[in-house]
Amino acid sequence: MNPAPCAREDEVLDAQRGFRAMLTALARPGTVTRLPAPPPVAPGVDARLAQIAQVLLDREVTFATCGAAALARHVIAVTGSRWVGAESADYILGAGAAPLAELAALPIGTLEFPESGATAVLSVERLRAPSEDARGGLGLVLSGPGIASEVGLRIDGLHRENLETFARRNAEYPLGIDMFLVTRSGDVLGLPRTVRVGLEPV
Amino acid sequence: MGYVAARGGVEAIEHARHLVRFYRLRGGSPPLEVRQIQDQFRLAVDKAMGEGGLYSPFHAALALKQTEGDSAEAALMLRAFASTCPRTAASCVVEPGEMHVLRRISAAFQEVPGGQLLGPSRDYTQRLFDFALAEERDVEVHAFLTEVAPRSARLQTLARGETGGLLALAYSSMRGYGDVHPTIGDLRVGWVPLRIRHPRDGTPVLVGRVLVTEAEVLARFGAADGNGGAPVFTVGYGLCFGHNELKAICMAVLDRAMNEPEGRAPAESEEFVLAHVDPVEASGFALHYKLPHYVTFQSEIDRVRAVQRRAARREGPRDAGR
Amino acid sequence: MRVAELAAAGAAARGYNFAYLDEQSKREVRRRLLKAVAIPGHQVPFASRELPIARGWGTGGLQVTLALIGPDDTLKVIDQGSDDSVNAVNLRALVTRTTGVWTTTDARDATIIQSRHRVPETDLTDAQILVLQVPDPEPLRHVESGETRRRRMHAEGDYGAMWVQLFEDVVRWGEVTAASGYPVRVHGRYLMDPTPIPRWDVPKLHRAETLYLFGAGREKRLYAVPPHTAVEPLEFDDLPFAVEEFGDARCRRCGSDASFLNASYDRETGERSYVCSDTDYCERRAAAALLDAEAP
Repeated sequence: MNPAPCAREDEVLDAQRGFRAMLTALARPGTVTRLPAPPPVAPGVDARLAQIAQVLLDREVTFATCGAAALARHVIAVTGSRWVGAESADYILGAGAAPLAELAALPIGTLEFPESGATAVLSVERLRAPSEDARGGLGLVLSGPGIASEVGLRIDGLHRENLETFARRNAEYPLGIDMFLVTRSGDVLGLPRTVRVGLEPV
Repeated sequence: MGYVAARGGVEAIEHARHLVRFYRLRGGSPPLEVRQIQDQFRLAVDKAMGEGGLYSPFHAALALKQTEGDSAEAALMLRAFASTCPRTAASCVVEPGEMHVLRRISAAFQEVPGGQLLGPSRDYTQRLFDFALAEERDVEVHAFLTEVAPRSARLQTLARGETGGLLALAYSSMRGYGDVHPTIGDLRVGWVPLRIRHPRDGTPVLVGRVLVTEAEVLARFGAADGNGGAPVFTVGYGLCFGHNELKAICMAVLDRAMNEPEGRAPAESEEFVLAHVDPVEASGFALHYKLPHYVTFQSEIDRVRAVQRRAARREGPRDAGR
Repeated sequence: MRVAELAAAGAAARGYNFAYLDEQSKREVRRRLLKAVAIPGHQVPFASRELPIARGWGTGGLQVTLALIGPDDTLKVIDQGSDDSVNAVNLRALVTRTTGVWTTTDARDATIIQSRHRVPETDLTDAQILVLQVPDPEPLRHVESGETRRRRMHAEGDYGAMWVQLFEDVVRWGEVTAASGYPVRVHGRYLMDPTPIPRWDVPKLHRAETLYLFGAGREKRLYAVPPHTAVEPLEFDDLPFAVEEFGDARCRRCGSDASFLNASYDRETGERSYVCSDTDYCERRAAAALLDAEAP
């Protein structure tokens, strides 16, 4: 008798495209995918972090931010998700340029429920193939599930320590955390806990 | 073979749909009004509401009409429909003490505070056919103007459980596969008020009343942890939509059975009981065996032949030697 | 894709959200799928929604497809390899009614393929996703009946009991008698049930180009095998894993001897012949053979 009320069509399709970009990024680490245009946000709120929050978060999950109270307020208002400390968060949203102590506190799940390990979403400056410009930023070589043999790339705007913490949290597979890196232009890189990250020496 | 015809799938489904409609109408009798089912098949409607997990007598009645009385199909329809309804709020905890009681009995005591009320019950009638019902044309309806229900997850699953499935398991417990010898402390049927918190100021707001059946079962004593090991009576609890005494009693018996700390019988295993009582899952899976399985079967044939070939190779030289 | 978007708007007008599921249900499936991809072969529990399709008939695969699908996709749905199987038709109809998405029978053109119990004979690419319907996600179901104990076996990677069962099979019958749904080890860690696909299809999962997603609606589990991931059937050194054999049989319609064949019995004469289970593969082969035959 009552038709089911529908979400706004453009929100629905943006969420679908955003999810597919993230799924492909995580299933094929090193393949950089592209998010659709982000919804508008207030100044001082990272539009891409807010966009990913809108795709994935709602009342059923919790999130942490690394400071960024304005972002947190926006996410709470738009998704209904609960803002908690990193040690109990399902998701964490942060800017990758500075070392984030919160990453070391994120839950890594249990042997029986490894999927309860957290997901980190960090904003970075640029993601580029080494062929574009082999200088500057962090040089990575990725291998593992989702990658045919290995793939190299460079990341600008990600602090080395954040990757080292990520690797340390993932030392005991299947426990661990999973990570997405997103740029202002909407490029996404997925790093599942299974990925092996070879970091170029300092 | 028409079941997986080259281009016949869509046509086959259309014809099947047409046939279903034909079988429902071919008798030529006047079409049932949903209202008639809602009024005069209330126990079937209540059963469907309970198993479908959606309190809506109209939709339950419509589902029973559409499925020609197939209660498992009706439960599936209600579940699917409920899935499309937005969940706007969680209700406040319902206080069964506020129940506007239609029926209330206790087997444990002859007299109980509040009294016993037989209510609408066939328990004390003889199950003889009333052939006059076959001639019933117009009935004067005297309306009763009623104005007037990680243990929670277990009870939730039981509340949506299939009545027959719950009965079989509870019955096993009563017959000795387990240790519950229940006495009904309280069995009630009645309307309980349902409230939600107002989104702005949080005050409880009455949104309606639902008909529920509630059973409290007292079972043989066990040693209570907080009682220094001294024995106490233990309680099982059951609550379901609509008027369904069989289900509420079985729920309560199983609730108590699953609390048995050293339980080994099937009814005492929470994992066993909760996994097998959902009508939609159980019936769906049982009936899915009708789906084509010819690829998997071909694979099985391959294995049987391989084993047979191996056995034949082993026996071959012995035959030759004779 | 403007036409598809208009059709999507039409679905909303009929009273259902695009792709039937409400956004919250989609988010739940999407979150769980991401974790499943991050932990290959591990069964991730999820809040499986009720659908207007019976449990056991593909609601899990359907929820995955509905969470994935968008106006840019092209969908193929098969059952036992056939697009025209009545259940595949019904599932496809639910998706198209609520999305307006293009559909195809050609495995090369589909971006999402939802399948019950077969992997297409056509090689799948990195632009495609295969969604498999799962009746029972648990490879240890018949080895250990208690769920708590099974969960611990997976947690500790302790699959000794499965090896014992296979060994007992060999001792008794001389063969591993597991037919379809052959147990595999994923990324060297989790034991996984690849669904009741024939053994013929199991090698396709190993280091594949395409992403495999698995949905069990009734049992409320999702799992995944990313591309380029090791998927190894359990085998003994002296008794390697083997696929089904068809002897000299060829497909009666297209002549193939390199595809999974089904025995088929003539409705009148009762005579047995074999046909490809993958109807799309078979039809294209038969059509190509016809063109070759007609070429000047």
